[in-house]
Amino acid sequence: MSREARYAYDGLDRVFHEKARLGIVTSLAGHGDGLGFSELKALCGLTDGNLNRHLQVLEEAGFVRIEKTFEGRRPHTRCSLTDEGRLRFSAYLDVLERVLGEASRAARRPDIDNARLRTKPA
Amino acid sequence: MPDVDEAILQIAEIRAQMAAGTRFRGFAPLAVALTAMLALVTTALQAAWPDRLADTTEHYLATWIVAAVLAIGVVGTEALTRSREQHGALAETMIQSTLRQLAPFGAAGAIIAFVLFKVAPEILWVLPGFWQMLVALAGFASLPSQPRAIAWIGGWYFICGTVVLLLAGQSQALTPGMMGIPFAIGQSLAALILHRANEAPR
Repeated sequence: MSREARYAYDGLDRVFHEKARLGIVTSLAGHGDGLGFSELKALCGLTDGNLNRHLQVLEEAGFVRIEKTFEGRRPHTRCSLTDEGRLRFSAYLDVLERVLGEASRAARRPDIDNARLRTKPA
Repeated sequence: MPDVDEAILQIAEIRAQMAAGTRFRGFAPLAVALTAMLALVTTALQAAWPDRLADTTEHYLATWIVAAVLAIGVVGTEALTRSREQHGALAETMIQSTLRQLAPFGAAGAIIAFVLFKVAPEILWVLPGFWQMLVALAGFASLPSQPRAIAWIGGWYFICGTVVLLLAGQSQALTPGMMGIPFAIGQSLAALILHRANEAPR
């Protein structure tokens, strides 16, 4: 990567980098066997329509698997992260961590510079 | 910037949570099958040269400790390489999480063996059954990150451990089959389960 593009952060995948989808993927990340539609809806605080729309985006990207079955007579939708989804989300977290690390260092730098100035002999 | 630092901590938590809910694919079926072969070879060697490799309980156990170290080396080395291929950026977290699950059992087996060798060699006959029990517990402990069928392997080692403890307790003597048969069959089945899980759609 060139020095000029240091802050390009191409790894921040737009599919994940959206508040609702970030919530969905984070919820699914901790549940290897996946989550039911209503559990996911409650965890993410989304409406049926919104959750459906975001799940569709994630499914089209190949990051989420949606299985529709029947529990007795009631339809049941189960959502889980695919292996590809886990890998890509993990890579996304790496970049996000780097962004935050650089932000944290940048914020501390003025303090260090000021401290150096204060201790500099006249 | 406490908010940023807190966000970094939260990312680490998400990653740990993700590792806990992800199946660890580092264990290669072939490497696990090799440990079954190793158990068979060790049994055959002890049967062929009992006066050298199984004349005393100490020699018997020392031979199996060498076999166990080799087996852990083969599976462990392969797991390190394979988990980097399979888990990418999550590999380090997955390896640490798996080590946290399994290392205590390995350490317990080694410490108990060391203590018995030092202070109570007359009851060393308990070790094969005890080790099999520990492998069973390790199998059950790894269930969240392994195929569910691994529970059967845990059950197998649990039964074997009980039977071997009873048999060894009656005779106060160890035969090559007391380690060889449980591990050869148990590891072969574990390799088969891992192979089938790898073939399943992800």
